[in-house]
Amino acid sequence: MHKRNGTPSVAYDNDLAFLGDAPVLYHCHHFNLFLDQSVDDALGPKVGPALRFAAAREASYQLLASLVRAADAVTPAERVALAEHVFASMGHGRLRIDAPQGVGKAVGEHLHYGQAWFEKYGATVRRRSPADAFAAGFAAAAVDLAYDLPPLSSAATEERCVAMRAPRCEFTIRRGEPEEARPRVDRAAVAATSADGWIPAGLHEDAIASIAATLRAFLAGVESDDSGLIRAFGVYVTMHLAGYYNRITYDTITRVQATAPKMTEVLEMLFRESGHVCVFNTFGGILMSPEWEGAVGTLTGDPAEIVAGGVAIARALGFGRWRIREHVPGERLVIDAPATYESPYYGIRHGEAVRPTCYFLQGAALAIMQLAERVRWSERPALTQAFYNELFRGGLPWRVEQTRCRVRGDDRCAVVVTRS
Amino acid sequence: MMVETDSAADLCDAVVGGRDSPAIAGALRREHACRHGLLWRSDVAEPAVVVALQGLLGERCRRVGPAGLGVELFETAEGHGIVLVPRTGRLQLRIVGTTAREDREPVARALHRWLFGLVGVGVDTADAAADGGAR
Repeated sequence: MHKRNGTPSVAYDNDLAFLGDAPVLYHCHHFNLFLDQSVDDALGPKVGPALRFAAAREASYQLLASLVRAADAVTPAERVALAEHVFASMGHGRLRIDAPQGVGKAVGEHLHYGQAWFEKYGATVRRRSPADAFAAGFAAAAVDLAYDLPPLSSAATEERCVAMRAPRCEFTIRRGEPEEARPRVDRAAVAATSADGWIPAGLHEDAIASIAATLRAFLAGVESDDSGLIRAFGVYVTMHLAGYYNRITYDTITRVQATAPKMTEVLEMLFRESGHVCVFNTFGGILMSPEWEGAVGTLTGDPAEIVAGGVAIARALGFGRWRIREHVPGERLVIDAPATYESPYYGIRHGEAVRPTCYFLQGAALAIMQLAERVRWSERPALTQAFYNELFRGGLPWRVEQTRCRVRGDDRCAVVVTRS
Repeated sequence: MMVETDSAADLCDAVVGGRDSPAIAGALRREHACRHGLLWRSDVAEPAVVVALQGLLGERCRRVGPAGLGVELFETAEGHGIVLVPRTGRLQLRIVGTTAREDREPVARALHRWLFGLVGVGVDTADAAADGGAR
């Protein structure tokens, strides 16, 4: 069995990544499951998955439309084949779609969400609803495009799911009412909202840029396997759609603000915690990987090394051109960026904000400080859930504040981590 | 010791003394992974064995990932990953994610034995010391 799915070519602007027209980035299943669960916890077991489906269909449609154009895929068969290939090459598993004129089914094997959920929780928790709203939305978008149906009109329901102990995931696909189009958040629109060049270089800039380029060289060589899964640095990751993450985040915030405003703060905390989850698992996994040891060096545990490493990892994964503005070990960390993967979406879709909105950046910066100060890297700790709980759920010694945000009219997004 | 040969197998015989060498490869330990039992670690203390492994892996496996960055990435015909850091001798085995959970350790042990069998190095068969638990 050898690799067979060339990973689609990714372009970068200001360390934000794009596949076709669509903003993309890399995240692992810990983050993906945590974010989905946060949405479902806030909105409930019907509205949450419905939002996740709609977000997946919309973001996938944008991606696939640009790739169909680029590939000059004309026939339904060509378009479906392209969609199935793209899905696998992004590390989401294998999806076979058979829905002529928008009516039929799809079958998923090794689907990222369902399989990862079952691996992580299956032994101890019985799941009562399907996990693969993303795959459902992707399949619906592929059908819309393949048969020239009205955009965002097909519906897909996951009838069986491996997270619920089924042998494979199965979806029914049917025609539905089209969702109203929203403003596009594509490469050009992101570029228009992401000025750069006038923010001075940060600390350790040369080292960070060099490490980010090295990590990106590894990522460029990564291919999905026969199961449609991607492993990079020993960690299973997905190339995912920023539009998906952002819509489920900000639409959930908007709905909760309208229906249960007192819960907004709790929800924002959860979205910040998604940054902790990502940094602990993915950043930590990369820092401890043999790729890091060979290409960057053996970790010494110097806080400056971890902070610079974390910022380089963020750039490599397509999170934006994060910079270290200040770092006083044990005291203070300031990270800024001309744009995050969150801010352009918010600005385009929601306009100006009263409060800062880069929840992931906030949580990730705090988590980087925690990893830099509280982890004995030279002892090669195991990044277990128990260790995560010890580091992040036992009272954090840091607080984070976002002091600047593009969507408030600032020239950059900036977060400050200080002692709590 | 200078070895003049184009064959990685010859090189390895020369540096470790052939198939009957009593040399012991580093023990295999489970590393914490995002999915249980997929990452395994072994450390190669002898630089000559590292060199031999590099050569043999280049012949027997598919090379994946970029070259010249201080780490060598290979893939077996079954899709398992083998990652070698020549500078430190760290070796990581990455078992294919679809391998049944109960099969992962036996597969890792077999891969470890195969790997060091290539260079004629005996394998420490002591039980693996888990480096991290499952999640």
